[in-house]
Amino acid sequence: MLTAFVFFLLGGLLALLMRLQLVTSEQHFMGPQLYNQLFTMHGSTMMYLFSVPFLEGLAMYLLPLTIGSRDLAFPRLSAFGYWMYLFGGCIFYLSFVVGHIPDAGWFAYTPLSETRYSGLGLDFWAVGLGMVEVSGIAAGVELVVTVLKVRAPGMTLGRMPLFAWSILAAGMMSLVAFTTLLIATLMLELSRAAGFQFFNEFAGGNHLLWQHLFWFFGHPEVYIIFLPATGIVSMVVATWSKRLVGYNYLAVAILVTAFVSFGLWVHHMYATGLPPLSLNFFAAASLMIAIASGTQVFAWIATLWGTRPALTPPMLYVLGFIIIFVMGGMTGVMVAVVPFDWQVHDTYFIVAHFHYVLIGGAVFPMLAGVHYWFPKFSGRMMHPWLGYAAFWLAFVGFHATFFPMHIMGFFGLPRRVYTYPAVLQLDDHNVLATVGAFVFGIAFLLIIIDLIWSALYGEVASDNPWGADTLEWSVPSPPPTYGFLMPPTVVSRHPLWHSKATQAAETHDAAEHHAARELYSRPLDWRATLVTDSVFGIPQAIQSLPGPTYTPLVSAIGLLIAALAILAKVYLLAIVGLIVLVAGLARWMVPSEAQLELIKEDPFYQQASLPIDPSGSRSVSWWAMIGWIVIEASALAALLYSYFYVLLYADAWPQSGAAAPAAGWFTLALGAQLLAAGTLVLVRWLDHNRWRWTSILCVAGGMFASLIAILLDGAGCYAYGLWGTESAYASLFVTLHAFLWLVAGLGIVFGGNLLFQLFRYLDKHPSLVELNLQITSQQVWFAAAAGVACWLAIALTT
Amino acid sequence: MFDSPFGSKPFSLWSWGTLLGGAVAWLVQLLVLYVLAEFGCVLNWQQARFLGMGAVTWGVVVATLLALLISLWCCWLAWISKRKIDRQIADRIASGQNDEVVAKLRPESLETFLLRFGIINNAMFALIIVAQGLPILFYLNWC
Repeated sequence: MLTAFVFFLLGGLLALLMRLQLVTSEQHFMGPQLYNQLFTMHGSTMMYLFSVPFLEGLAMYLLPLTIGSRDLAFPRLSAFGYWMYLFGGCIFYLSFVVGHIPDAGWFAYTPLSETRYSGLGLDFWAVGLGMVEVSGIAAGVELVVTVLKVRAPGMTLGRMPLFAWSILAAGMMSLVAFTTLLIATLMLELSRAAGFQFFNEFAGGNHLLWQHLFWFFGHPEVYIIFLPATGIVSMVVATWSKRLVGYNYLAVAILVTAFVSFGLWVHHMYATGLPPLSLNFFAAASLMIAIASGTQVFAWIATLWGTRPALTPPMLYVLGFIIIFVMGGMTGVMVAVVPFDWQVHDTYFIVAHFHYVLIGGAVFPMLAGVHYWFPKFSGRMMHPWLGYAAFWLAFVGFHATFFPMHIMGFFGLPRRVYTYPAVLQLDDHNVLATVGAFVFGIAFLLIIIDLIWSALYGEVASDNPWGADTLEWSVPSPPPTYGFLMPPTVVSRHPLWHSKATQAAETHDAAEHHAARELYSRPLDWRATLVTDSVFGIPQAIQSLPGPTYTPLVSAIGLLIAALAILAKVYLLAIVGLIVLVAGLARWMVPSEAQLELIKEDPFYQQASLPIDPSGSRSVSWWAMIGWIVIEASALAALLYSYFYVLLYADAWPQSGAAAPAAGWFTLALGAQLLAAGTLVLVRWLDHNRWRWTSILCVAGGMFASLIAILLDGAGCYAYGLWGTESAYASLFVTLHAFLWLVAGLGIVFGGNLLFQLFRYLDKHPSLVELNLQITSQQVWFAAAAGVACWLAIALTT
Repeated sequence: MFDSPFGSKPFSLWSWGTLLGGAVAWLVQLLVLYVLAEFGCVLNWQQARFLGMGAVTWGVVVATLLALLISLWCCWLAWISKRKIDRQIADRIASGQNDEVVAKLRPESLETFLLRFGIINNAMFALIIVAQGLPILFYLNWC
């Protein structure tokens, strides 16, 4: 959160510089090149380095407390994600140091972002963004599995706080959306660094492909930001009103928004000449999402109605959010209508609209959340009068900045242009916007002063100063590192408002309460946490969490070295970085023997009524693997979509006079991969203790078959003679096959780890071996399925 | 205890359908409509005609109707289950059996929550499916 806030301040500073340039017409405070660089970095910072990471950070801190868990499901993954994010952000800003600042907008449309028009700055953008995307995907897996599997006993789906619902939805969206962007960014960087032709019209590529891929991420991203913010709003509104109206509707609205947000991407492309029928489908979906958002707004208003909530800073920010977001939502409905969008496309009306949605829809709720949870974070209250002053300055400054932009847009002022002629007579509006921006900036200065002053000298806060209903307020402020000595048992949607006597009576004999009592104050040395059923909240197992380690940092440093080496075009160093990454990950995968022994020797291990570190769907790792398969499937879908999209507009296929690929090598490769998948089916059926060596041989055979599949596929590509730079077809052909090598290669790595565990742990820790077998099987089966999909796609079209 | 889609643990396919069937139907409709509108229009599929309408139009109409039927069916499944539970609660209370079984089905219970969730969710997606199908009325012969 702190890192994201620092990036927010940097992004805000860039915005103030831009407003200085635009304060009056025909100014030359900065030139067009610098202006392009500033708006690119401002947008990229706010969208990639601030909004999503801030909310992810907030969720990672609060979620375990909110759902009654001792920790996140994968603390090491969180650490890895953080380092990736920090390093990615630093690479973004390193561009200022080396004097190659990205200048193609936060969306980096091709051909503007290709080497013809953009220099090394775009490489910093793409590589930095790639690292941030990996961080976003890691956070997605972490948050989804945490919400689904480590909730407090008794916390059914129907009793989950709305903050957890919103994080669950945003996490699931991150898996698909960030993966699509990662593939698009890789394709862009391959085009820039290796001469691939995905987007090059002169080599059969298609510029609009980038826009499709980008906005398939870009639109859901708005909701990845917005949904957690709505979760914060629901929590604050419920606390201040001492009730919550429309829980069911709010939960459904979150889910509907998450789904439908993936069906709107074309509404960013109305002006690109797509078939009119297509535009109208997406216009309809864009209008419909307003129903889901509107449902939430009405539920909050109904909750507040007649309750006379105290207008303290958190509530003020929520009210500010409702006003601003409704205004932004209304202009959103306007721009969803195709003819209206054509009129205001690329004008300041759009700038006004998305700032109303993103600042109103995300920043105001974030500030509400910071003021609301600050007592929990720090054990101290924030200063109320500084809070009031900051809110009113932010509210007035915001409207003064962005409301005039609607009018400027109507008058035709184009966005992304460094100055404007005096004849437009828009100087007054721009002066107001610039003054407003500085007032908005002063508000944040006050917030920073308030945060520092309150952390040092603020009034000491009680455990639950607001009289809130959710579990994080039941632990001391600030909370201990283990969260809960005894995992709480939940019997109500509002656990802290539910009478303790009633709760005790209702849970007296419940299995849920028994499991929680078993874990009272132990075993904290191996960080035991309860795993519960994803729907019913019934305790299923006890999971040990790993201790502190440097492996996530080492892995992230490996990737940082590789990224910097790619930027410097020192490819040998990039290989060294990748080796460090793989070594770090390999060390990470091997379980700590000391911890395994500690668990085995703990008397609690014998007494516990629930299985400890089980396999299958009761294990958090099994769920993470499902998340990983979703990520891989999304990547494959993005590549196959690209293949068919380029094919659709191609004059000939294969392009550039290439012959159709000979099926022989590729069919043999597919056969080998299917054989590998088959051997793992066999291993799953075997009793490993009885057929130990058969199991080992089968796994080794499966890995060998996967290796043969990669070699045969590689030989086929070599024989075909395409290197990816000849045409868009060649680029897609090579990339699809490289993806197959990657997923099959991962299966081999997982298989190697499984073999190691079969040798070492089958007697002592059979459930660990079983879990690794399940994970390896899923990976190898996915590799086989991906092989079939690619084989069919290429065979049917060439 | 009660004949409800959420009685089984873990969830059956029926349970998930009652909860999310409309969402999945919408997703499939979106994919079909996008392929028809972008790929079908560019490839001139609308030239192939049947009963005065082009192939793209027929595809959109059929996909929309199927998706609508699935979402409404899922909504109905949740609805009848909810009604059955409401009726059984009323019967128990009327016969003086205001016991723990009734308490377990109070509005906040998981069973009731999921059924309400299913009704609202599927109904909302039915509305979205209709809205996405409507533009085809303006493109019966071209796209």
